[in-house]
Amino acid sequence: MVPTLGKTTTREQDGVRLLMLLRHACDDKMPDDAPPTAVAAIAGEQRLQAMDFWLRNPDYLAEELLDFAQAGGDSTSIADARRILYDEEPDLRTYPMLRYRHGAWERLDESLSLLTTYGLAKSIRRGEAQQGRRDFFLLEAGRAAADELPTRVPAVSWYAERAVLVRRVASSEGGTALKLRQKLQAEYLDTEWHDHIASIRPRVLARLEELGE
Amino acid sequence: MTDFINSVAARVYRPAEDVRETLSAHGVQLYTPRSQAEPLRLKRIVFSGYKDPDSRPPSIPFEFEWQLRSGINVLGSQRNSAGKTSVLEICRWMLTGRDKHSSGGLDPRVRAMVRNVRLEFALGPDDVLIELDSSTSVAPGRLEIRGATRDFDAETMSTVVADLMLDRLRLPTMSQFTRAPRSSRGSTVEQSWPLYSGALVVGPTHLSAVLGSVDTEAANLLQMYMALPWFNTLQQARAALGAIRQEVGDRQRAAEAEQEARAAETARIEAELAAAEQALHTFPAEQDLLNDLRQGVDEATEANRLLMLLEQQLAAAQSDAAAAETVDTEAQHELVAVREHTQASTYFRALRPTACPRCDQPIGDERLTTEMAAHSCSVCTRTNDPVEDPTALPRAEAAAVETKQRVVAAVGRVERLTQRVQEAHRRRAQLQQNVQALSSRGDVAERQVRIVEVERLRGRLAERADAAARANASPDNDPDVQVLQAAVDVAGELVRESAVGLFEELNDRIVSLGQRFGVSELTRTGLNRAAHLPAWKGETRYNFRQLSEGDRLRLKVAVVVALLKTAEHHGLGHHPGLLLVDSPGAQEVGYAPLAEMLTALDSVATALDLQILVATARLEEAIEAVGQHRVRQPNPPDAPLW
Repeated sequence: MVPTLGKTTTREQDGVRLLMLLRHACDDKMPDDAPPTAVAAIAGEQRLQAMDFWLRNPDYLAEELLDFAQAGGDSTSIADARRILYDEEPDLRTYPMLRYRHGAWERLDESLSLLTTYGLAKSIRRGEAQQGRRDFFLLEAGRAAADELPTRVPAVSWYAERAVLVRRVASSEGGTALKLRQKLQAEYLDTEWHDHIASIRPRVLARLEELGE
Repeated sequence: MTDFINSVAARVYRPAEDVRETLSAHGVQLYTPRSQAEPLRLKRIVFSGYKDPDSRPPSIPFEFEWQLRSGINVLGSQRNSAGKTSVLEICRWMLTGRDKHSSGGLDPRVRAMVRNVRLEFALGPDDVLIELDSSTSVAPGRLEIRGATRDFDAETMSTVVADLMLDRLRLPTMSQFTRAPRSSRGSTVEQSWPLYSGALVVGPTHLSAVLGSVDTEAANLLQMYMALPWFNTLQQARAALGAIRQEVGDRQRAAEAEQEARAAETARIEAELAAAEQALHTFPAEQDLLNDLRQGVDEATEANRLLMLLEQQLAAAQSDAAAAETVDTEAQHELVAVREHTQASTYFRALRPTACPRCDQPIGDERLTTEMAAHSCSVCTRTNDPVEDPTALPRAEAAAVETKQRVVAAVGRVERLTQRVQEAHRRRAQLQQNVQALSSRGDVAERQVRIVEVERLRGRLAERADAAARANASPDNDPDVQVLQAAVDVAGELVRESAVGLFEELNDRIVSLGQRFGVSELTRTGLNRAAHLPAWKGETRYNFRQLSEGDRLRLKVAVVVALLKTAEHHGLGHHPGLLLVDSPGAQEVGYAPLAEMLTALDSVATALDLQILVATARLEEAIEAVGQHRVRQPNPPDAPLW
């Protein structure tokens, strides 16, 4: 199990993250043409890639939580941000992503194939009319697996909790909007293409310090 | 002369030049032979005045004139108080410039009467005139010789006359260190002509001394008129010795007094010195202090070096720890990832495949059965041999444990080094503080102050020790005293040598003359350098003072005449050959002794070409002895002379 060059995760890890995002960070509504056993959906790969970036980079997620709280969101977001950075060993939960022209991106084919093989999820690529958009669906078996996974596989339980927070900051914005938000971070923007996007942890810690308890 | 200097130098073990310089500095002159005195002969005495000097104005004038000749001249009267002694005193006044002398002098009443005096005399080949007007206290006068005139007054007359006499009689001034009776203090006085002139006078008031009128000066007068070689040097050396002894003694007494007065002060200084030395000893020696300082600096430098080394080690350890933490984080991260992967793989593999991820076609039961039986993938039908590494998780766990241990070790090392750095910081600060304290401590400067204080007190005590040494020094150790004492000794020996034979000759003449002058039964005299003149009548010895006044007067005249005769014989001597004899035979009853004496004097005066003035109230005897022409008498004979 050696990640391919530039990749920091395995197919199974990716599959777990994708499953958790579909289970806990799905869209509010289901497309009309959803598969018959689909129980949740994420419309557009950019949105999914953006949310996966937050899931893999706790410092960026914490920053978004602080923004969320300061933008009038619930005050628990600050505590959540603090917990992520201080208690949940962010160094151990960070899986950097390569920067491409449109930002952080990584192929989802292998992980999605894994889920598809076991009937847990599937994707549908739209036609030209919808700019080749790709929607991702969680199937019933996938929901059952996602719900039992934290118990059966404790090592990945934290993804479920983290995916809930990702959904909070991502809200229902589209993938393009989320990518733009991520590019507002100088470190993200300044990262050379094909480099791992740099951490903003020190800056977020300083911000937390300023906010106090 | 050089022999004298060398003799003195040999006695004091000093270079001759030092001796010469010392003697010169103290006014001691070496003997140089002097020629004989020029003869002094009175020619005419004239004086005038008033017998009632208290009257305003005085109205009873008088004038006296006496033409004198060589040989014997007698001033005679039939009664006392006829003015004879006054005539002799006025002569002496003119010849010395003083009307008072240590023994006798001009009667104050007569002095008041006399207004004008004129004395004419011959001094060697020259005629001399001395005259003065004593009607006022200034008493202006003049001395005329060879047409030259020196004016004088009462103040300066004696100096003017003495200058002339000392020069023409070849007499030196005589330094004497004399003390008043019962006094420890003395002074150096210059004896000169007024004293010397005493040897020209013999009278009833001068009978205590063999020569002159002062017995204490008789010895000096005798030896001086005898012109004994080295006598004057001896006198000068004695005077200088007396003065220098007194001076050294004064210094010694002053030092003693100072030492006594300063004894308490000295004790106080000694106590101060002891305290200062004690205080000084409480300070570390400068070298010790420097050693301490050097050691302190070395220790501080070493501590600093150690600190820097530890800081370098700490920095390296911190770097190592940071690196270890980074590695550990990576290892932990890897462990998390491996766990996630492994557990997720296990989970997913346990699921039943349902469709092809590529074509979404369902996977039938036969494929699942085949997969279980033949281990062929139910999806792609290839042999199901997952490329899983069963050691990945244990390795990751082991690596994580190891990296964690490394972190713990590195952090532990950082903590230990941090502690050591802190300790080194404290030690360096302490040592630097020590150095600072050592370098800024006041005792270096204060020690210097103490040293200076000790040296100052030692110096003061040394000064006192010098004073004590002066106080305890014997005057005999004074170099000048030693030289002068030796000079006195050597000169004394030379004088004694030169006197040997002379005094025998002198005594023979005194005896002969004394017998001729009428000293009865005189058989021997013993005149010596001390001017003691014992006399023997038969075998009976008389001290001079035990003799009758008449005998003493006769012997005094005999001494002067003997001096003159001896001087003539040896070509030495300073007596000018003038003798004033007052009232010989005044105390004698009887006729013969005076006539005998006058006859002898007349004979001696003629033989030696002397001039002798004799005043006597025994007029007839005098006329009979020397003849009418040599006798000045009043007219009528029982009247006063003036």
